[in-house]
Amino acid sequence: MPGEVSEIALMTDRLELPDSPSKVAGSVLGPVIARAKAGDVAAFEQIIECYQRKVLSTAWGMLGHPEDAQDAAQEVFLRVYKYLAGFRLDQDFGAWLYRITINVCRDQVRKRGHQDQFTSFEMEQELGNFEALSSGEDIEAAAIHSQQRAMVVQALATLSKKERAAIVLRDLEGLSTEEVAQVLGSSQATVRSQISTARAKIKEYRDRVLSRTR
Amino acid sequence: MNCRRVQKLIPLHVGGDLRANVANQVESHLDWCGRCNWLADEYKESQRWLHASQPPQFDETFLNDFKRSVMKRVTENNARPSLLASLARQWSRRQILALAASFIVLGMVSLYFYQERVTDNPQVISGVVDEPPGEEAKATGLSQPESAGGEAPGASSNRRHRGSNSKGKSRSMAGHPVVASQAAATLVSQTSGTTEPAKAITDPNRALTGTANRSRDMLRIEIQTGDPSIRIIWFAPKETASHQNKPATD
Repeated sequence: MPGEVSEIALMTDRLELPDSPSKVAGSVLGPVIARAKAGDVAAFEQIIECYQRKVLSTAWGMLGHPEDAQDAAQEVFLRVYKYLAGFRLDQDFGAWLYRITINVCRDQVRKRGHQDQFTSFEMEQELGNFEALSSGEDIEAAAIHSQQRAMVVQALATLSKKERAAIVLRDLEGLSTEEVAQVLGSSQATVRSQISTARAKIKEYRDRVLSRTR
Repeated sequence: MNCRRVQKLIPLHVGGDLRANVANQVESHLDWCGRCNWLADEYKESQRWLHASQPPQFDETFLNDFKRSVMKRVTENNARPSLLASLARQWSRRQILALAASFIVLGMVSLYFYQERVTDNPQVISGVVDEPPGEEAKATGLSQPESAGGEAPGASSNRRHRGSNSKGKSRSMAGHPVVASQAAATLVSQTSGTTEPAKAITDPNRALTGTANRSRDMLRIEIQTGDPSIRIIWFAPKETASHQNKPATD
């Protein structure tokens, strides 16, 4: 069983656009999802193993802070467990999961009413959760990488919630426009418009930052 | 395709979000337009910058801890199912629907009976109640209040009520002397001040005695509704001075 899980996890990690990763992963995981739907806790654990990276990175993109992302990801899987009984097996599990993730992140932002937080290098070092820092990588390179990541978080913070969700799913998670539209429940034209505006804002932010540093 | 149009499409073009024919048109424009080409390069650089900072890579230890904490919370939630969840597990969907339907029917029946009770209840005074003239005259000691150069404050207030309410209801209630006298007692009274307890006027005798009291300057009017917790009380200045000065034709 653990072998099966790691194999599936590798497949989902390797899958990239335009092969619609969520659908392929969903079809591979079909029997596992069916078992989890029937109440098999071990099967649910396998689902977590397969999707936790994606959920965590999406939540990070939406919230901009690792701790918030961790809380949100936990909430996502709790909701998945709660509502899995109502999930139809002919649905796209990946899209369903992304939809829950986006909704949980929105709820979290609304509930806490917090400003988007700047993730400093020191904060990441304190958390000590990241491979880049724990694997003995050059500390200077890690600092630069962390700073750049923080700048991206700030750039994403300049976007509206919808634009942010669209750009995170499209550019950071690599979903197609059609999939993003499906996850967000919008038309493709709307998603394209949101993506276009978001890219323009990000470019503007980057130009501002670069002009300040020069 | 002009520059303005191309510049609008560049953000989508750099991400490969345009249809093939539109992308080709943009591409051919970029081949000869230096300014648009420069803008496209800027956008491409911005996209590279965005992709270069991938989300933090969570290590295995972190992911294992994460999974364990999620499973722990799932187990806790399973151990303490909510009331609705436990109901849903024990009962089938059909049974839950039947229970919900029976609650709705019960609620509607209760509402119906409540409405009936409110309509039939003589304590609900939404209109004007005419006291039997004989009783009021006896109580007030005035045989002909109209001809006495002025009218009793109670009668005056009754007239005021009558003006603003339906006559039919007044007559129908006046047909029941007991009800009418009780209601009248509840309806109209003149008390010595605003601090007198409200229950005092529920006594018809006292209320009617109060009606005859002309020495006070405030008129207290109460209406008991069907709901025992709601009683409408208002005070009006007694119109003794104006009545005295009023012409007889008024």
